Amino acid sequence: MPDTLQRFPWLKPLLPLAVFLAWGLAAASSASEAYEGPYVLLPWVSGVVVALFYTASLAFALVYDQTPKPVDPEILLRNMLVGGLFTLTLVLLSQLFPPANRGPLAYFTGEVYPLLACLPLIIYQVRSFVRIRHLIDERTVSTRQWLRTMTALLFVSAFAALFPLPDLALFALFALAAVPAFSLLFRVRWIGELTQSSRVYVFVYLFLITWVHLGLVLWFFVEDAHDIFFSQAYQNPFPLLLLIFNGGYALMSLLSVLFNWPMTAIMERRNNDIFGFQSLHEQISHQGSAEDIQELLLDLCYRNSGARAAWFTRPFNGGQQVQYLKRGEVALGQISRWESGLRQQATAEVVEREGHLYVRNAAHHEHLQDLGTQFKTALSFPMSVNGHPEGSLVLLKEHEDAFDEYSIRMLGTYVNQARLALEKNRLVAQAVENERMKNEFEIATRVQENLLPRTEPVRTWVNVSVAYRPAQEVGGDCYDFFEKGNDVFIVLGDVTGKGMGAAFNVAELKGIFHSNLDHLEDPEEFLFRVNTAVSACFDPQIFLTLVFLSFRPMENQFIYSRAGHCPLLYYRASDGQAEYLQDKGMGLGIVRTDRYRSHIQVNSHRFDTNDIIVLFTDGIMEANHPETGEEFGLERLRHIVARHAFFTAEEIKRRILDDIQEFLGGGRAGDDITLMVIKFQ
Amino acid sequence: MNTTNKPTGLNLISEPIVGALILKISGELDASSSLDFDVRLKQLIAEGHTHFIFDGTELAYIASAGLGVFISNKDDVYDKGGQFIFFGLREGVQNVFNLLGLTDLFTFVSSQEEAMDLLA
Repeated sequence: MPDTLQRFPWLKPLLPLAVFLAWGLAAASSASEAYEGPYVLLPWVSGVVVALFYTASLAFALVYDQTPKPVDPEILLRNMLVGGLFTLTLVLLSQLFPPANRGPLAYFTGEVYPLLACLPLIIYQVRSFVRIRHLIDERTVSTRQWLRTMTALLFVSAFAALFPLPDLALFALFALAAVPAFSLLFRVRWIGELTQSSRVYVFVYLFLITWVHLGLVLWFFVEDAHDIFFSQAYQNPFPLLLLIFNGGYALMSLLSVLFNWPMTAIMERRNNDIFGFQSLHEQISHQGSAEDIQELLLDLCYRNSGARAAWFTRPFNGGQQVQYLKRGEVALGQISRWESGLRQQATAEVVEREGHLYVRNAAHHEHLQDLGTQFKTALSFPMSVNGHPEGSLVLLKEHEDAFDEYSIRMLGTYVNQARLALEKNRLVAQAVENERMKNEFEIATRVQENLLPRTEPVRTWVNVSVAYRPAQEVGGDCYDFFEKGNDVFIVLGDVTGKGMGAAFNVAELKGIFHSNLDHLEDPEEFLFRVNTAVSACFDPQIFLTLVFLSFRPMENQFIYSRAGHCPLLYYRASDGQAEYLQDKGMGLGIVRTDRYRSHIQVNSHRFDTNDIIVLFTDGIMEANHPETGEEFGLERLRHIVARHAFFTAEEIKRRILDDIQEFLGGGRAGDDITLMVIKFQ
Repeated sequence: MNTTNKPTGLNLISEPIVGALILKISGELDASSSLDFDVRLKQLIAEGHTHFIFDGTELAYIASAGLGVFISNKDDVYDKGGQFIFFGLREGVQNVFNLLGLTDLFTFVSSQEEAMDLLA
């Protein structure tokens, strides 16, 4: 109906005009009826103006309906009462004047005034009808159809005022109108939404409205409608239908409020519970923090259960400490006593069901007797999130056995909701963390792989094959080849640390190598300078191990220094023996002064064709068997190399890796694996 | 890698001579337990103790992070004329120290008596 004003804006000025015009004409025609003379209008004109008056009033009220939505019954009924009292006062005023038999005053009070009073009466009735429509409207198809039917019948009865109807037709009209009216009179669902505070007001308003309508109906019948509407009261279906419908609905609502009085408390409680669930659910969807969820749970349970005191225990610091959130009149000292009392086994007055512990009467509880003087009933809900105990919610009431089944069930549902919210919270945080770690691993791996040389050096006298397998979390393994003319220099090392930090250190180390390329021919100097640079750059707890190799193919010799790294494995083709070279050396970044020089040992070693050097990092040595926990170890490596020494460097490397893979049984090593096979040819 | 779940502890056994502490390390010194170990050791060094004798009979495993703790704190001790002395290390653990060349830096003996003799 409000859209009607937008669609037909010309209704806005037209309708009120029509109403007043019609009323004016009705008044005039009625007045003229009393006097015979030149101002007598044709009787049927009166009918037309009255019908016009009714129709315009009803249309006016429907179109100008400004009831705010959502509908507040208390305010709506209050307005209806005020309007009703005003109207009643107006219509009854005429009764105050003493009836005079003749003269202008008699005429005024007898004839004109009642007509004047009809305007507010009809206006009030159509407005009340429109207000009642709002109350009835249940937003279902059937209700709205009945309302439309009723409204249509009212328009029909307004039309019926055009001419006096035979009694049968009137009776039929009333009977017809009774059908939707009867159906609508019982639609009082809005009563279920009333809060406990507003139902008192609503009751009083309805009570008074009913009396107001009674007064109006009586007046309508008593005041000889003959004078107003040229007919008996019952021959005016429009005002009568309105009065009966409005008054009847007020009466029905009044009785319903009265008979549903106790239900209102229950309905309100259920409404609160639903709102409580909504709030908790919002926390789930809006990623509330764990603390927010716990606070909300405590507040909801405390308020909705009517408990006198409540608290929530929150373990933190790995379960070693406990924090209490509390509501109500209970001291912290008492809380810890309650907690220890509740934890202990007791038989009397305790009901333990899944999900909660209910103490019916703490005064009879073996461990809570002294606490039970203040609070007799205790209800405790332990909460565990993803299997870990996460705290508990405890509610106290003064009287014994004060929580009913419904409350306990409802509170349990709140606790469950909160638990779900917390679990989801946890899982999301975990997922985010996993994603972050995965990203970090991917980045670190990519960085590491970019720092490692892409190709092995190619020489006629040697074959080098290298493999790098990063672990779940990238470590500090690295290797590099330096070629100066025909010379080849190899370094293979391991920086302490894991993840992005280690990758950055490797990058720094690479930089340090490359700034010392001039000293590669003097291994002692090279290592000394690298140590100095590393000592300046790396954190104090970070150090690295390193193997440095350079070759003198003309002399069948190689030079090496093992700076704290895993021992070099050397296979001698002449006697088929593989053994670990014995030597000394200290890692870099440990002695961070010039004294490091004294810890450097540079060795030279002879090589022959088909001899093999195997370099590796401790990821291989320490690879654990998934079942026995045994380490892969040096011995195993030695045997594999000896067994497959006939193959190319590439093949040998592959076989070693296969063996490690088989050893790990498909699992991943805990540390990076770097393997370099150098075969002389 | 060991799969024992013994918590790592650094326990003060005794102070036989003023300024020299005998400390028992038990469990595993891996990346996480090394953090607490570092804090504790720094605390003891700050308290003014000179010599540190570590009883490694119950040390099951040491990772590079653990080694880093000894390495990074040695200067504070050695500059005051103190020493890090280890005794009773298991073979695997001793091997780790050996490979890294730490035998030239720290002192390794086989028993508490030998350690005490060194200080005398």
